[in-house]
Amino acid sequence: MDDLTSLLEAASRGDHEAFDRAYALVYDELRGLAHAQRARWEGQETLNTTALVHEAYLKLAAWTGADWNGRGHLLGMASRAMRQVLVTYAERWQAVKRGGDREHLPLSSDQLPGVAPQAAEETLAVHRALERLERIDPRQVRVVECRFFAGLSIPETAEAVGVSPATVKRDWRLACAWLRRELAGLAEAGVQGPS
Amino acid sequence: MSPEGWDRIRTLFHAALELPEPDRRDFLRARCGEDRETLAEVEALLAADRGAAEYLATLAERSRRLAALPPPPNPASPGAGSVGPTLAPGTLVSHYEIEALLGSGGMGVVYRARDVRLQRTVALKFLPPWLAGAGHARERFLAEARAAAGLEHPNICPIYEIGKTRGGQLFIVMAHVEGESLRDRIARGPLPPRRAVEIAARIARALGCAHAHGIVHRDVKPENVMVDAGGRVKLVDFGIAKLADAAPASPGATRGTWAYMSPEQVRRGDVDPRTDLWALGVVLYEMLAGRRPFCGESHVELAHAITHDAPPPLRTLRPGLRADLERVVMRALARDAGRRYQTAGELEDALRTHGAGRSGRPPMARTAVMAALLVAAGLLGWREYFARGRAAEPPRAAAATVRAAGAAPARSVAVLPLTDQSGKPEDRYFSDGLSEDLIIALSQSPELRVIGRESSFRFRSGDLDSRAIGEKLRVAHLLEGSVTRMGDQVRLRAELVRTSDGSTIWSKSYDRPYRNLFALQDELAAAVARALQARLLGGEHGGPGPTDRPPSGSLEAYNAYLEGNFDFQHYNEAAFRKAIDHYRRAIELDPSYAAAWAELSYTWIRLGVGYRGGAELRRIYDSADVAATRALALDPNLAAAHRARGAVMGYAAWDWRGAEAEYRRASELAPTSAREKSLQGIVEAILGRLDYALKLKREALATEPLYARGYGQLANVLLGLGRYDEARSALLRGLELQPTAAVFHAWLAETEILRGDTAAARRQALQEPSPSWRRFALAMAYAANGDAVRADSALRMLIARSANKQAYQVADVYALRGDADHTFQWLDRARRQRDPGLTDLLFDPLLLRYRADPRFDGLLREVGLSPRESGTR
Repeated sequence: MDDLTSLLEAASRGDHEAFDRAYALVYDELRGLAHAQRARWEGQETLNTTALVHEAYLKLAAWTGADWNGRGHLLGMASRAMRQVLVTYAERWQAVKRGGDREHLPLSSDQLPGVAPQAAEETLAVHRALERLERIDPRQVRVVECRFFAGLSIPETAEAVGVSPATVKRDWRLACAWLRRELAGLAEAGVQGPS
Repeated sequence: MSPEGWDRIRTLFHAALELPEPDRRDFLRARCGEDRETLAEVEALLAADRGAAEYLATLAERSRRLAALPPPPNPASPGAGSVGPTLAPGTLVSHYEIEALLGSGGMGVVYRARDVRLQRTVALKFLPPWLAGAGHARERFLAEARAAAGLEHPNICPIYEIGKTRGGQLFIVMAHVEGESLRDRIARGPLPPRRAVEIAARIARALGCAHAHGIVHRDVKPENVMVDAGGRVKLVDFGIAKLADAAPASPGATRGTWAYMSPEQVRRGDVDPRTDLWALGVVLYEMLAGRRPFCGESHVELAHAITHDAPPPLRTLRPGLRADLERVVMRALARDAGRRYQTAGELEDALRTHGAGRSGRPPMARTAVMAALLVAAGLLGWREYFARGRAAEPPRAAAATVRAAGAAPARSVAVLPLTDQSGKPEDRYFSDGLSEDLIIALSQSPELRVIGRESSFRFRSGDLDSRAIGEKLRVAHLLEGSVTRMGDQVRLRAELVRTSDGSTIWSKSYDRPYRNLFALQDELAAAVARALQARLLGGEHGGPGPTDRPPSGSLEAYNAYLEGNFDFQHYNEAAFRKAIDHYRRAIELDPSYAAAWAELSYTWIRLGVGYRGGAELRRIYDSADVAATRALALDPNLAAAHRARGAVMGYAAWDWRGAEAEYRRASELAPTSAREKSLQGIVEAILGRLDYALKLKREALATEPLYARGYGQLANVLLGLGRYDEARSALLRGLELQPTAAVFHAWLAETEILRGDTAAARRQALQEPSPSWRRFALAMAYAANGDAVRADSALRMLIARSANKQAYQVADVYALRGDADHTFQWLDRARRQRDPGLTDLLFDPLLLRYRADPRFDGLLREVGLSPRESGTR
C-alpha cells in the first residue's frame, strides 16, 4: 500500500491527486468492510455505518503513524466513502424499474422490497442535493456526510470537518432545513415513476 | 445561488433563530428590505426547520436499512423491467391464496387473493419488513391498524385483519374493491358537479366516521378513492403504512403525496383531522376542474404554492358552476386552518346544502313492469265452484291493483334509516329506533304522506341514488342522516333531499346531551315537518309517538324498548324471544311503560302462534293476556294496547268479533299507522269481510309499498274474493321484494291451480324453499294435475311429516281432491290442535267449496267465527 500518511499529508496541503488516491484507498477499505458486515450478520436490519466508518478508520489509521493529526481527514474521507457506498447500493435498486401499476419486482416470499426503490430514491435525492450544495457550501456538505451517511456524533464531525462543535451544530441545522425543502415532493416524484 | 447569497441566507437564518419566534418576521423584513428572494428563502428555511433533523434521521435510517438488504438481481438491460420471482398465483400465505399482483407503490405491494376459509376475494397489502420493523414502531402500527380495522362504514373499504407470514412479514387484509379509482375517473375528464359533490360527500362521511374514532387517514387522494361497479364510493388505504414510517420523535413526518398536503403539514408536519379535510378539498377541486389547485414544476415550487398561493377560481375553469359550490370548495382550501370547515360533518353539510346542481340527467328507466297476466286457458271443471261473482279481470287492472301508478305527492317523505356513525353494529337498534320514531311522529301530520318503516328501511343510506329511491317509494322527499351517541352527547345530522334532483332543501346538525333525547326528537320532527310545509299535530290523535316513550322519562327503558322493536322485526322465533327479554327489561325499569307492555303482549302472541303448542302455548297466552290488560289499564288510548288485547282475544280465545272491535279501535287511535291498518285488515279477513279487508290492505300498502309480507296478506284476501289474477300479481310482487320468503311459492302454486295452470303450479311448488310448505304445495299440484300416484304419495308424506303442525293444510289438500269427509276430519283435528290456519276459513277458496255443508257452520261456531258474520260486507 502506498504510504497513506504521506498521501494524506499531501492531500491536506491541497494536492488533489494525492487526495484522490487516498480516497480510493479509504473507499476500498470501507466497501470491503461493509460487505463483510452484511455477510456476517444475516438478517440484520440496518447497516451499521458508524461502526463501519470507525472500523475503516482504525484499519487505515494503523497504517499511519501515531500522533498523527490528520485523523480528522481520515474520518472525513471515510464518511465521504460511506456516502458513496450507500449511494451505490441505492443506485442498484434504482436500476430496477419501478413505478406504474403493473410492474414486477423481484421478491422472495419473505422479503418484499417494494419500498426499497423509495428508500433508494431518497438516498439519491440527498446525494444529488448535496452535489448542488457542494458548489455553494462544501463545508456544509462535509458536515452532512458525517452526520447523515456516517452517523458520526457532533464532536466526531467537528473533528472530521475541522471546525468547532458549535459550528457543526449550526451547519447541521441549516443543512437539515435546506435538505428538507429540497426533498419536498419526493414521494410524488417517486410515484410517478422514472420519466 | 452564489456562495455570497448563501452566506447571507445562512447568517440571517441563524440570527433569526436566536430571536423569539414572533420577532423573527419583523427582523427579517427589516434586514432584507427589498430583497424579497432572500426573505422568502430564509422564511422557508425557518419553516422547514422544525422537525427537519428528525426527518433527516429517518431518511438516514432508511438508507442504512436499504444497504442491509441483499442486492436486487441485476436488471437484464438498463431501463428494462426486472422480472423476478413474485409471489406466484396459487401461493398460500396464511389462509389466503394469491391470485394476482395488483400493483406496487411507495408503501408496499398489493395482491388480489382468495380467503380460502371464507371463500371471498380480498386484497393483501404487504409491508416492507423493515418498515413495520422493531419494537415501538411495530406496536404503534398494530394498534392503529386494529383501530382502523374496527371501522365499519359503507364508504370505508374494510380492513379484515393483519396477517403475518411464516417469516414474520406483516400484511394487511382488506376488502377487494372491484372498480376504478377516482384517479382513473378524473383522468377521463372533470366530473359533473352533482356527481363530484356526491362523491365528496361520501368521502366526508367516511372521514367523519374515522375521525370519530380518532383515526386520521393522512393520505386522502384520488388514488385512494375507489368507485365500485355499483357506483359506491369506498375510501381505501388508511395511511397505516405511514404510521410505521414516522419517526417516533416527530409523528407528523409523513410522506404524503405533496399535492394533497395542507399548508400546515408542509410547514410543520402537523397532522390532525383537518388534514384529511384539506386533502378532500383538493380532491373536490380536482374533480370539478380536472386539474389540481396547486402546481409547481419543482417540489419546492409546489410547497410554496400550497403555503402561499390561492388556487385559480373554479369558475374560470368551469364556467356555469354554481357560486355556492365554488364557495364551499374555496373555504375547504382556506390557507388558515381556522377558516376551513372544522369537521367532516360540517363539510358534508355544506356540500349537501350548496353542492347539488341541477343536472340534466334523464330520469332513470322504470323497472320492468311485472309480466302481464296470462289468459286463463283450460279451465278445470271445479273452477266454477270458486266463481264468487268474478268477472274476467283485464290484465292491466290486475297489475294496477298491486302497483299504484301516478306521481309522488308533493308533501311526501320517506325516512331512511339514520346511519349509525359509531360504526358499531350492536348500536343499530338505537339509530333504527330513532328513525322509526321519526316516522311515527311525522305520520301524525294529516298533510304528509310518510312511507312506512318496512319500505323505507330497505334503503340504508349510501346505496342508491335518491331519484331511484324516490321512484320505488313514490315520494318526493327523503330524510336521511346519521346519529352517534358519544358518551353523554347525541350527535344527529339530518338532511331533507328532493328526490327529483337530489338537491338538499334542508339540513341541520344537532349536538345535544343524551338526556334531552326526547326533546331533540320532537324538535327534529317539528323542523322536518316545517321544512315540508306541513303541520305536525303532536299527539292530538293520541297516536303512537310521544306515547312510545316511558312515562318516567327513563332513557334506559326507552332504549330497551327500541331494542325490543329492533329484534321483533326479524320475525322469527329467536328474535321474538330476544324482543321479549328487552321489553321485560323496559318494564322493569319503568313499570308504567304502557307501550312496552303492549308490545310484550303482542310478541308473546306471535311467538305462540308461530312456534308453540300444547301447555306451553296456554302459558304464553296467559302471559300475553296479563300484559295486554296491564297496557290498557295504564293507557286506554294507546293503539298498540288495543291491538294487543285484540290479538289475545282472537288467537287465545277465538273471540274474533271481540278482537275485531279492538283492532278497529287501534286503527282509529292511530289513523296514519300502516301497521295497525294492516293488522286490522287481517282480522277483517278472518271474519270474512273481504272487501273491507281489501280496502284496508291497499291503504296500508300505499305507505308501505315495499313490504313483502303485506303483499302475501293481500294475496290471501284476493284469493278469497276469487280474484286470482290479482292475487298472483301480488304474490309475485312479494317475491320480487323478498325472493327468499317462505310460503309465497306455495301460495302461488295454489293460485295457479285456481287459475287452471297446473304446470305452473308444479313449477311454483318445486321452488318453495320451506320444506313443509313445499310438501303441501306439491301434494296440491299433483292432485290438481290428475297425477294420482304422485298425489297420493305426496299427501301421505305430508301427513307423515306434519300431521301435528299442518292439519289445516292436510284438510286443504283433501278439499282440493274433493274428499269432504276427510276434509272435515282433518279440520276437526286442526281445531283440537288449535291450528292457527283455521283463521283462514272464511277466505280459503279451497274450503269455501264446502260452505254449504252443515259441518262447515258447526266448525265456524266452534272457532268463534259465527256464520252470521260471514260473507262480504
